[in-house]
Order: sequence, then structure tokens, then C-alpha cells
Amino acid sequence: MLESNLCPEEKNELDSKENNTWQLANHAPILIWGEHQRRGRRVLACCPKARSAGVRIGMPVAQASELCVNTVNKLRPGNQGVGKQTEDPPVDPHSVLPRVLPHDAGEDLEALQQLAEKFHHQISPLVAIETIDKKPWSGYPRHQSESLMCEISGIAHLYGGEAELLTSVTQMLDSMGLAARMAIADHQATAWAVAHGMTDQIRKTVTRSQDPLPPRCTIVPTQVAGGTPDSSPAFRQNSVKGHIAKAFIEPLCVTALRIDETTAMSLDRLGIATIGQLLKLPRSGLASRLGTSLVQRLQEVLGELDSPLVVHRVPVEHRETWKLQYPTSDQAILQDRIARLMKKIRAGLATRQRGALRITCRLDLLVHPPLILQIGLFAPTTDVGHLCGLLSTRLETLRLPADVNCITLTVNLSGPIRTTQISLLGDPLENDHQASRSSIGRLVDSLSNRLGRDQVVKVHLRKDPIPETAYRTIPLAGNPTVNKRGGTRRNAHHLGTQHSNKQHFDKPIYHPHASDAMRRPFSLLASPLSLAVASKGGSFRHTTSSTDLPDRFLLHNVAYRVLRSWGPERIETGWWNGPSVRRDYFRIETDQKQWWWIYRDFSTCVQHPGQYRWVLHGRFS
Amino acid sequence: MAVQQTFEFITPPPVAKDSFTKDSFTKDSVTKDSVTKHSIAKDSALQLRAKPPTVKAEPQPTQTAPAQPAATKHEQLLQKLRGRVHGITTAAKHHRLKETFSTGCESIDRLLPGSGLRIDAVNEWVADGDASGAAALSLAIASARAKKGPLVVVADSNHFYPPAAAAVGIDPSKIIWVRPTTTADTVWSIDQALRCTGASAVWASVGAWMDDRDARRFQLAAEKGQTTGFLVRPRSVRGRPTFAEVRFHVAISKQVDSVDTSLPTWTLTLDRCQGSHAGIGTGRQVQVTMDHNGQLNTLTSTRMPSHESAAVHLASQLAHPKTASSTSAGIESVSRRKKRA
Repeated sequence: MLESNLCPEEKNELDSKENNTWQLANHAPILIWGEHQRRGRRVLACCPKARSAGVRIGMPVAQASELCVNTVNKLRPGNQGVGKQTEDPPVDPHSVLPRVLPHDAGEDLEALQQLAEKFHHQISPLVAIETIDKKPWSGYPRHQSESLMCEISGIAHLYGGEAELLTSVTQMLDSMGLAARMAIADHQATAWAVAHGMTDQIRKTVTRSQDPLPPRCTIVPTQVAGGTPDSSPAFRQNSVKGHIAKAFIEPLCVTALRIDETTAMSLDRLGIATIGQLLKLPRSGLASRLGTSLVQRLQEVLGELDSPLVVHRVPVEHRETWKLQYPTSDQAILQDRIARLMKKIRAGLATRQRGALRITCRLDLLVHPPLILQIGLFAPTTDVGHLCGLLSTRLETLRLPADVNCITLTVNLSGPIRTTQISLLGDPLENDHQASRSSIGRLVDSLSNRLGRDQVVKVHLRKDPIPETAYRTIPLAGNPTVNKRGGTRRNAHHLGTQHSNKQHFDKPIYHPHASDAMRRPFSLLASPLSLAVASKGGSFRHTTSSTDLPDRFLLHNVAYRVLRSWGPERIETGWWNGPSVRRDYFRIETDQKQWWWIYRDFSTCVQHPGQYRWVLHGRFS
Repeated sequence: MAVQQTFEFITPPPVAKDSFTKDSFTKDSVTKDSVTKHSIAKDSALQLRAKPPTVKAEPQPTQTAPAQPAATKHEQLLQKLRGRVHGITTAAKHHRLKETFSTGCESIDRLLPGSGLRIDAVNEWVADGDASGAAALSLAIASARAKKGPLVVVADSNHFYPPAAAAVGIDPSKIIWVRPTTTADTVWSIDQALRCTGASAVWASVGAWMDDRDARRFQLAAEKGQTTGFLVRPRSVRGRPTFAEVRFHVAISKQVDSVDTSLPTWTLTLDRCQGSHAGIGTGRQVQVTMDHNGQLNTLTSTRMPSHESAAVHLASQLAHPKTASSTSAGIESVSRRKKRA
């Protein structure tokens, strides 16, 4: 049994990796928060940099961000000493303030499912995503599946042994920018406990390392003396119970047992920290005092009880396979076969009056990793020509490393086809409407097929005052069809808000509003530019103590004078929502006929009280 | 420059002559002439430089004009005739009247020959600087079009900010935002979107890299899909030839005291306009401002050098291959000559 626990959060880990490549020193700590029912926003995940600053999972976001800011400030004076009085160094707000992002459980699950599919194709035929209980386990506040379990009996020898298997999995994850904690054990629960609870200290004392293992990996030896790699778990279980596995489990923390919060609390009060201490207590007493679930977990960990493995399967609505008689990489042949398969699929879908929304095309090659093409569609379709066109454009851009052996087409998601009656007399207007709708669908399909699903998006405005997060983008293609009734209601609501805006303008006294024209810039800089400022007659400096709008700004060594200005518009977040953003925005017109959106940043006030920085955030392009 | 020249003259002027006669005399003659039209067209394919004669033929309709009701004022009549002459002399306009839409601002409409922007054409907005509001202005005008159907935005996230677009009157639910990463993908996306009959308009931020081939591709795509294209271009392309139907230059002008000061006023210069050699539009300026709803308002429209005296000079100037593309430069030289005289 192999258990791999993805290091805190894929998204987080990837982010930090990306940042590391282009800006090693300047990358901001990343915090991901989730809403707790009673305790407000809590940190659910953080990057290694934040962790080194003292951030722990489960602490309030406000506290965590303060820790991050403090650590950066502590480091800063040292840096200045080395630089020695060159000039007031520009403080990048992004290196001071941590990036605080909301947690998206759906995105995590999708990423995990994709990973499970990859494991399924490359490592083991039986891959399971862990099942979670009703309540979150103690020490694991993210209430979501985060681990993968693979059944590897009879597989390890293909890789040359269990250690080599772990190495190849690590390589695979490395190429995706992921890091995992992995463990191999006889039983599912044992592997879970060891993967989650094992620290480097314990590992050092327990393992007599013979094989060089990748970091964060453990192999719990089988309980059969000199066990052959292909011995089945059942066989192992019946054999002499060694105490080697126990040695691995005993030093682990009790939270590795997947127990809920209340049980963990009472164990803590009893002074029981490790599984070893728990094992010394009589089980009958445990069951009556702390619940049967704890005893069940103990039995699972010790291998006395085997829990079922819920194997993850990609939801398949329809599948068609074509085995090629002679393997080939000829485009014409492949496209023809795909077209034939598509016709079969269409027939299958047509009987249920549904159209495809997501299609996966799997090409089994003569060499091992198969090629997988995925297509997401804007609207359910049964148009074979359109679908084949989308697939063939993808196929043309692909380089086939070897001949194709077998083609499999799978419909992963489908939606009901909207059928409308065609009027006998042919109302031209109605037909036009229909045609335009389908043409939009085709446009979105082909755009997202070539550019990628995330590059063709719809926009959803949020009621968030922070300009960076004032909108959300949602991919257009490959989404499940929404209930039509819900859609219309939302539209009605939207219209309602617009109407209220109109009324607001009719009022005799006009109050400025963020949604008025020309209040927000048309190009918002992803990384705001720091400006050097000068008051009337003064010289340029990076920070200023005066609260007035400066007279001149210096950007890329070009000086701009302020002709007119409008503001301030203060944008401020609550301290309880993470790092407090506090900015005074001004719209200014420079002497070079430009309209800028700049703000006075208060974040530098923490280290230099009374010193403000000016930042260019957007242009009215 | 050469490419533009050939395009302008590629559709033979004799056809235009034909439709001219059709307009001024009877409508019955159309069917009769339709056969001969093509033969003439073929014969005179070589007469690519035959444009000046058609321009010279201008006085003729002015003579027939008094036959119309006397109630029409002189100015209105001239306007009408200019529009008609424009319709005759420009290429690709002889078979049917092109549908136009109002920009939502009266003074801008008045600059344009069809009293509005053509639905199936690409228009360009040359920004004076990186923060001069060309995107704002073009999106405000595109919002009129976006009420008809989805608006496809092709721009990276540094050049488009949805809340600002929503503020000038575009329904966010109608935006399809495409974010290509390479130039080739950008051209392809704009082309595909323009070609799509379902989309009402395409708004894109296009750098100076766009070449004639891409531009012609967009033009054809817009005609095919009946989609309006709004391209925001950098300052460096000003004066260079373009395939766009209309090209505006957008600059922020000095504030006029009488209006609300918290919103900018723009000086909009019509740099190029298809068929503008008859004296309509090109080089004219208007000052517009925006209100809090994103609605455009006229401030003033500057006086144009009078058509009657300048038209002949202008036409000959424009016919000259060197100056034909940079029309604004052409006008300047005309005015300079006048001064000397």
C-alpha cells in the first residue's frame, strides 16, 4: 500500500515554486485562508517562507500576516547595512505584505482527481482518494480529501523494488512541481499514519536505512521475515506478526490515527501524546471511555482490521475504443478512426438526448505513458464534424513519440441538448438567434481548444473593494450546464441592482460611487510601480512624511508633474481579514496628458512611522 | 503604403460611375445596366488611377439638386450630397447601403459619413499615450454595440480591467475575455472572433506589431461575420497606413471650465475615414467628455476648413501616393500652402 500525501496544498506549492524561479528573494509569503464557522478566517495552508516566519495552520489570518510582516521587517535592517547608504531603498509592498488568498476546495479536489488519474495511468491500476469523515480530523483543519492511496501489490518489481518505485513517483511529481510525503506499508491505515505523522527525527531513530530513499519517504518493512516483494497482503497478514511495524507506529502522534477534535482533546488531558502510549492502555476501557471509533482506528493501524479501498474512477458516461490492427502515427488514419469513434459516441448520446461537454481522447502508444487530449465545450453538442475538428487541431500540434496502438474516446460530462421546434414557415429572426448562439459556442470551443481552457473566461464582478480582487474569472468551456431557471433569476437580480444605480444617479445630491465611469483604471498593473516623489521645490525621495499629494513623480527616471488631482478615495480592509490594506487612491492628470491611478501606501508606516510611499497602480489607458 | 493604395483602387471606379447614374436618374436603369456593368469593370481594370476623374464629376449632382424640395437648407443639402458622393466614390460600397450604428455621441456621428460607425468594419483608436483614455473611449462606444450580443475582449490582464469596463456601461455577463499569450494567438483569436456571427463586437488592444496582412485579415473577417472591431493602437502607428475603416486619434485635452472637472475631456481627431477624400471628416476634431454613467457628451466641435475651397486641393493631395496614407499631414501642408498664398 502506498500512501502519498501532497505537501500542504498543490496550488500553494506550485505558486511558491513559480515565484522562486523569477524572484527568489522577493517572493511574498503566501497564506491561504478558509472561513471557520465561529472563529472567522483561519490559515488553512501556507508556504515554507510563511512557515519559517512562525505561521501555523489554524491560526487567525490577522495574526499570521502580522508574523510575516514582522519577520520581513526584522530582516530588512541587516540588508540596509550591507547596502550602506546608497539611497533610501524602495520598499516593495509585495515583499512586505503576504499574499493572502481564499481557499478553493473545489479547485483542490479537481487537481487531486487529475493527479489520481495520472497515477492511475502511470503507477498503479488501483488508486483511491482518501475518504473523509463527517467531522474534520484533529490537526487537519482542511476538511477535504488530500491523500492518494495506491494498491501496489505485484507492482513494485516492475520498477525494481519499492525504493525505486518511490524514486520514480518522486520524479514524476517533481516534473509537475509537486512534493509529497509517501509511505509504503502493509495496510492502508498504517501507511496513512506513517506518511502523515512521520517526522525526520523519528525516521532517523526507527529506520536502519539500507536503501537510499527520496526525502519524506518511508517504507515500513513487511511483517514476513525476508518477505518476497510479490507476496500478497493476505499472505503477509497470516504470517508471524513481527514487531517491526509497531516500532514505526509507536512514536507517532495520536493525530495520525485520524481522530476527531474531542477525542484528541481528552487524550491530551490524559497526557497521552503518542500511539505507543495509547497501545499500552487496555482497549476495553478505551472503547467505553473514548468511543469505539478510536479502537477501530487502532485496529486499522495495527492491521487487525482492513478498511475497504474506494478506488477512484473517472466518471465515464460513454466510452468507445478502437484497437488499431497495425500501430501507426499517420495523421490521416488516426483522424479517420477518431471520426468513426465519434460517430459511435454520438449515436450513444443521441439515444439519451444529450450532448458532450467534456471529451477525453486517449492514445495508447507503443511506449508507456499514453497521450491524453481533453476537450471542454461551451454548450452540449452532438456535432461530429465540430468535435472532430477540435480534436484534429489538437492532434496536429502534437508530436507523437511513438506509433499509436489504441484510441479511446470517453465522454466525461454531458448535458441535455436544448431542442427547439423549427417553425414550419421559418421565422428568420428566430433562426438567426439560434445560429448566433451556436456560433458563439463554436467560437468559445475553438478558442479554448487552442489557447487553453483558462484563457477564455467570463467575468464575474465581486463586491470587493480591493481592486485586485474585484472580479473573478470563470472558464467558459467544459462547465456542467447550469439550471436555466437559476440563470434567469440571477439576471433579474443583476438588472435590479442596475436599476437601483440609476435611481441613485437621479438623486439631486450626487455621491461618488466606485462603479461610476472613470473611477477605476482600464489597465491595472499586476505589480504596482513604486514612485519617487518630490514636493514643490524639493528633491526626489522614495518616501515622504507629508500627507499632501506631491507635486512631482519620478517613474523610470522620467519626471511627471501633477496638473490636477481628484481624491482621496480610501480603500481599507479590516484587520481581521488578513494583512490590512490601507491606501488612499488619487486620480491624477500629469503634465504629459496622462491619467494615472496612484495611491499613498500606509504599509510602510509600520517600520517608519509617518513615512508614506506613493505607488502607481493603474492607468486610464 | 503600396498595399493600401492597391486596395483603395482595386474595385474599378467605372462601377461607381454606374451607380452614380443610377442614383441621379431612374431606378429602372439598374437592371439594364447590370450586365454592362461587369463588362465595363473588366475593360477598365487597368484604369486603376482613374480616381481623379470621378472626383471631378462632382459638380454634376450639385446641379441636379435644386429639383428637390426647396425647404432643405443649403447646408443640409450639401451634407446629403457629400454623403452620396462618398457612397459613390468609395470602394466596395456600390451594391448596398452598409449598416451603421450610432456611437452614442452626436458630434462623433456627425464626423462619420454614414452618421455612425459601420457594423461590419474594423476601427482603430490610436492612443496618444499609455494613459490617455483611448481604451475608455472605445469601450464606451463599444457598449452601444455590446447590447446586441456578446463582446469579445482580446487582451491580457494588464490591458483590460473588467470593473472599469462595467462602469462605462458594458454588461459584465456579456463579456467573453480571451487572454492569448503570443502574438500569433492574438491575431488568430481576433480573426476568429470577428468571423463569428454571434458576437456583436470585438475589442482588442493591439500593439505596433500588427502588419498589413493581419489588418486585411481582420477587415475580411469583420465583413464575413458582421462584427465590429475596436482596436486600440499605440501612438507609434499614427500616420502609418491602415486598413481600418475609421481611425481616431485620442488625446486628453485641456480642461474646459464649464464642465464637471472630475472626468477627462478628450480631443478626438478623425485621422482616417474610408471615403473621406470627398471632404468629409478627416482631420476634423471634436471634444467629448463622459458623464458618470459612461455616456459621451459633446463639448465643442472645431471648425473645419471649408470644403468648397479645399476640396479640390485635398483630392489631388490625397490622390498623390505619398501623402494618401497620412491624411493629417496632407491637411497640414494644404493649410500651409494657403498661408503662403
